[in-house]
Order: sequence, then C-alpha cells, then structure tokens
Amino acid sequence: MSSHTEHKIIPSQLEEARKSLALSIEEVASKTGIDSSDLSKWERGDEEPSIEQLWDLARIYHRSTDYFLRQTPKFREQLNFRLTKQRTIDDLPAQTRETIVRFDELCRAETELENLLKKPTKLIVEKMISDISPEQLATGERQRLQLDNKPIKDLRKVLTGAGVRIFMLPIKDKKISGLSWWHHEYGPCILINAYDEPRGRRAFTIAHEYAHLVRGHPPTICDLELHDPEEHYANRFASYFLIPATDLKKEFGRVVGIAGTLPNDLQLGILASRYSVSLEALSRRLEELGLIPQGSTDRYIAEWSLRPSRFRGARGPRWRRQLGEKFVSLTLEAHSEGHLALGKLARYLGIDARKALDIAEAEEKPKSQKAEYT
Amino acid sequence: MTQSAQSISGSYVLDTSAAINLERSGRLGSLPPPGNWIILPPGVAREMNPDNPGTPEATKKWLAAGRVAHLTDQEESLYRELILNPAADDGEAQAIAMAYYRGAVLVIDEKKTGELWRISQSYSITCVTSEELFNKIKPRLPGL
Repeated sequence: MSSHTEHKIIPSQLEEARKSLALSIEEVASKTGIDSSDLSKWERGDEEPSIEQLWDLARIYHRSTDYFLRQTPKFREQLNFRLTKQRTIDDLPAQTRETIVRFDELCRAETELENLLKKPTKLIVEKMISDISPEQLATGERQRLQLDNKPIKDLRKVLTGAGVRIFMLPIKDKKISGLSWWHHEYGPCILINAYDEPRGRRAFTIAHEYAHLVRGHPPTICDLELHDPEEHYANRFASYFLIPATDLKKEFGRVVGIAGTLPNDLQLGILASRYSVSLEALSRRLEELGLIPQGSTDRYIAEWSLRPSRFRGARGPRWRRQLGEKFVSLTLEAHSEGHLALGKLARYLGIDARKALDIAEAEEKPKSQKAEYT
Repeated sequence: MTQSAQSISGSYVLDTSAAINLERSGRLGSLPPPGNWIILPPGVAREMNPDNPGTPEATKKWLAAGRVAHLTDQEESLYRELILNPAADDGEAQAIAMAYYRGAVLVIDEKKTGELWRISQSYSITCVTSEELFNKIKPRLPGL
C-alpha cells in the first residue's frame, strides 16, 4: 500500500476553530508567534501552514489535528446561542469559550466512539413543541422515561440512558449554569457547569436544560436566575419533574407534619436530599403546593445569608465525573478492543498518556485487583 | 516474531504506547537516545512531555541526549491520511508513517489484534513490542 490520497488542510476549519474561540487573527498571531498575514492566507486557502504550525494552532484552538483535515459540522452555526443579558458569544471569557469547544469535541468523540463500537445511542427523547404547560410536560416526560412518582436518584444516568449526552465541565463564570443544544449529528447534548453551586443545583440544572431540549428551544447558555419566559418555563419544568407533588406531600407529612408547619433546616435538608435539589428549590416547591406559607423561602434565604458560610470555594469534580460513566466506559472499551490507541485514549479522557495507560490497565484487571482511579 | 537481519541492524520507531511502557519499566534510559537507532516522532515526544512535573528524570535525560525526528514530506502526507483514522492520534499516525518510509521497525504495545497493527501490516511494516525490542533485539544491536 504505497499510494495514498493527498489530504489538504481545510481553510474553513482553520477559520471556524479560531472564531469559535472568538479570537482575532492578531490574537492568534501573538499567542503563536505566527505572522498574521500567514494566518489570513491559510484561512483563505492561498497557502497551507507547515505541520508544526498546524500543531501550534491545534493546541491554541483546543482541537485535535484531524479537525483541520476533515469537514466537521459548523460549530458557530450550531451554537447560535440565545445568549442572556445581551451578551454575545464573543463577550464570554476565554475560559468559557474554551470549555464550550471542549464540550463540542467531547460530543464529537462520543459519537465517534459509538460508531467505532457499533453501539449507536438509542434516542428515547423527543421534541415536544406543542402548547403544553411545564407541569404537563414534566408528567409526560416522567412517563416517557418510565419513572414512577418516586424521586430520581441519578438524573444524569436516566437521561444518558435516554440518549442525551451530558458532560460536566468547570466554567469559572459562575453566572453560567449550563447550556444545551440539539445537534443534527450528535443529538441532544447538555453541558453542566461543574462549579455550579449550591449543592443539589446540578440535578436541577440538568432538568432545566432538558426542558430546553425537549421544547426545541434554540441552543441556550443559561443563567438560572434570569427571568425570561423560556428560562421560567424550564425552571418550573425542573421543579415539577424532580419533585413530584404526590410524593412530596406524603413525605412532608412524614418528615414535618401537617400542611402549614414550617420545617426546620434539618427537615428541609432531609426533603431536599430526597429529591437531589437545593434547599431553595425544595422550599419554593413547598410554597407552590401550599405546604408552607407564601414568602417562607425568601425568609429562609434571608436567615441563611446571615449565617457564616461553610462554602469553601467551588471545587470541580474529577475527570471521571466530568466526562460521565458512559463516555469513560466507551473510551476504555474502544481502547481495550484495539479500536483506540493510547494517545487518542489520553486525548479523549483529557489526561496525560501515562495516567491513561494506568487507568486502562487497572480497568482490565479483575475487580479484586483494581486500584481506585477516579 | 520473525525478525530479519536487516531490520535488526536498522532503526526502530517508538510509538506512544511503547515509549511509555519502556519508561515505566525503567528501560527507556538504557536504550540509545533518540536519533539514529531509535526514531522518536514529534507527537510521541510531546506525549512524553519533558516539561511535565510527572515525567521521570531518566526520561528527561534520555530526551535531552537525543533528537526528535522530523517528518519528511512523504511521511507528512501519509500521516495526514492516517490521522483521519479514529484509532490514531498524532504520535501513532506519525510513527506508522515514519516506519513505512524509513523501512524501520515499528515498536508498538497496542493490542496485536487492534486497528494500529492492522494498519501497519497493510503497509507491510514490521512490528515488535517494547518487550521484544528490549529482550530480543537490544542485546544484538552493535555497541549496546
């Protein structure tokens, strides 16, 4: 096999990679030391970078080399976000843009892994664009996902099983809770800010983003505290979906007592943890169901704000939790079966090749000998 | 493994898996530094990253004592084709391309039934594992 096709660098991919990070040609030039006129020529297709220059660009753009040699779905068209607070994607901090690019790469990788292993995602989720209230939608989705009226122990697992790609990556911009897009190739995808606090809000954010997907809302970067109709709808859906009324009423009676009784913090905590939601989300749902007086949540929040905070700063979850069990196991399986080389395994897992090899080997050992690599 | 006399005295291209395994077994430093006998593709050198605090001192010394290979135009062209295969990352694709055009032996610790061995065989590249390189070939290399 001595002849092979000439694979050119695709100029539009170079431009797309730069623009998806909202970098100007001059910024790339100053980061790489490459002349800006050369960058322009490459993006126009007048000339090609050397392979070493391409590797420099791949590093700056957070893309793998093959990205520049094949046509991929247009990132910016897909991510035509309905941005909040009049911001444009170009206004987002560099770290946020890089995380969104990593999210895009992970969605692409997961799709590629499924193809390699011939394990396509079975998509159970469907868009439900007809006029329907958040409560009706929550009831319908619980039925679709075959959830009864009990709390959902692991929402991420449930939705991943239904065909939604979910990644949890740290975004330092605390105003961003998550984002969602229904990609024409990758399907429904959700990115959750791994720094999202308080505890319990992540499940709420996943449910919130799920509502955007199911409603067919355009790709959205969300700040859950914003009050516009689509955000409000998604919040209400999340509340109904995560905290079913019948179960909450029963549990309230068991844990607190009769309706109208104001629960103490411990009782609120017991209930919030049952549904994996924050104290605030739980309290607002109690108000909505008339189990506690109106305005109680605001009074709780005022009280909590006077207490010394035990919050010691945002801590992102480790890589395994960020990527999710499905992605990690697909990657390790592909490596174990010889479909994926070590370098690619390390790239997909976002870790050093040495650590990737340790993990791959630990994975193949019998369970009794496995070290903890989380 | 069938090893011709020609390939024993020829050069050996390390792929990422082999380089990392040789490092882990403490054998990398006893190989000749990258350059003549041992060819280290740039992508593999990057994976071994001497600037990473986790890189063993012996690896840093070994890398510093030699030189990383550059791809020729022909190698680069084949590398561009191979990188489109979902199995390969930069280091692996470069290692196969370099082994092919240099008539070198590819040292690879990926699964023998896997995609990279299949690709290498389709280019008639002789492949050995790092274990084979160290135990069967290294003792027969002149001057080592």
